[in-house]
Amino acid sequence: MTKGLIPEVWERSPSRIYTEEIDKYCMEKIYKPTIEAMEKEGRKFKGVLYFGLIITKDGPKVLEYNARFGDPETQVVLPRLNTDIIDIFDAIIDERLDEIEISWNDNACVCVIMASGGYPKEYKTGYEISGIEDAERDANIVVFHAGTKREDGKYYTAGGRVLGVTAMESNLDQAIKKAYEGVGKIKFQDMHYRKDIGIK
Amino acid sequence: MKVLVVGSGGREHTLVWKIVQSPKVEKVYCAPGNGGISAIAECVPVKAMDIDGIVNFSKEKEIDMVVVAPDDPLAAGMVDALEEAGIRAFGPRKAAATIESSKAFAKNLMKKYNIPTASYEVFENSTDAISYLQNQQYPLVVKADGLALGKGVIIAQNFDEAKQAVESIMEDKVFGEAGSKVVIEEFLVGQEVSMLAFTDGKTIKTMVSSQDHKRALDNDQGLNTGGMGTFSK
Repeated sequence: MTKGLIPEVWERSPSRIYTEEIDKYCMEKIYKPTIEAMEKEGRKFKGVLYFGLIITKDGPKVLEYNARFGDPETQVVLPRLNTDIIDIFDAIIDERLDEIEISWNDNACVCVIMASGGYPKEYKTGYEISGIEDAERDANIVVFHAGTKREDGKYYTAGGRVLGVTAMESNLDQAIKKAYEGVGKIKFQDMHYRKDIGIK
Repeated sequence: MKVLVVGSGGREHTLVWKIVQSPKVEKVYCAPGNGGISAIAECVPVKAMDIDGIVNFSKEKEIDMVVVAPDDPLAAGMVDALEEAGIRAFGPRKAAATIESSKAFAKNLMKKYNIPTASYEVFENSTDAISYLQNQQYPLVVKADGLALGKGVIIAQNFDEAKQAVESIMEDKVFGEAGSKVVIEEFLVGQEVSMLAFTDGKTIKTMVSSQDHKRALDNDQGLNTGGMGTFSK
């Protein structure tokens, strides 16, 4: 990756955007009221609820809800989950989520999407992908597939978003660097990815 | 136990990757899955929207838990169908998934229960929507009511762009039935943050926050996509 791409000092780090104070506010004014509202409406929500938030000068507001795990957010959230996900799903189905502890690791996680050239407009598929195994040789990298197919042990592109190269490290700078090291090992024709993931 | 994950994208690969790490799980299927998923689970050729196909496969293989990941089958009632067939399913029922599948429903819910959100109006025909647009401040946001693959949100810089958005959604039906209503809302300025949460309907436990990059090109240039990258710290 290009040197000098990553700023020395973060102008605003994500952990400072979503502060404890904002989290507390959201829990009281947004998260809990939403599930209470759904229950009152006779639409009890069991599962994963996604809150698309915007932190305005008047405080956090909801842009949208999703009724599921987000994509690609899931790719950077679940690697940080320590708890057995089956225990969580079971507790939700049986409505005893209050009884279990859910623990997260404190690492930073970055996912860079490698897409077919032309996406989100027209693009071609069927190109062979090389280097996935090489990238995954690093224990801190996992390559999640979005639009691929496997034939005779080889991978081929099969969608607009093809791969999500995900790295986990103790801090964001390192995770960005590691994710792009992984990206650098993977090749397919007309591939396209952003070079500024992790920088806001 | 035997688990079936419904879906075929990067999210589903991540879910399958996490689920196979559970010592309680002996077998994971994914319908329909993708190349990467096929390396760690058994992919089955049943489409994510094929409710009967998923119910039948789950019965046949005696699946202990079905995880329904994408928005479309949730909105179509796949979890309801699985539960009626006596199969344990993870995901909201159709009535609850409406919080995503109708933006008008979500906005009305937030208004009724004082949950902070952008001010808005809902319109059921394009004439009323366009007449409302004439006296508004720009930019503003035009949203198709229903599911539109993440593409149903248009930020309009002026009246002409807003009018064009309403016409393509409501008259040309570029998103099909998702465009039978539109939500027109205030444009908010600030940093966007995503928060995922687990909930059983009574208790809610948040995950870790994340931020994503929606535009196709560096420095947030180019078209909106499903997401070109994301990070969590």
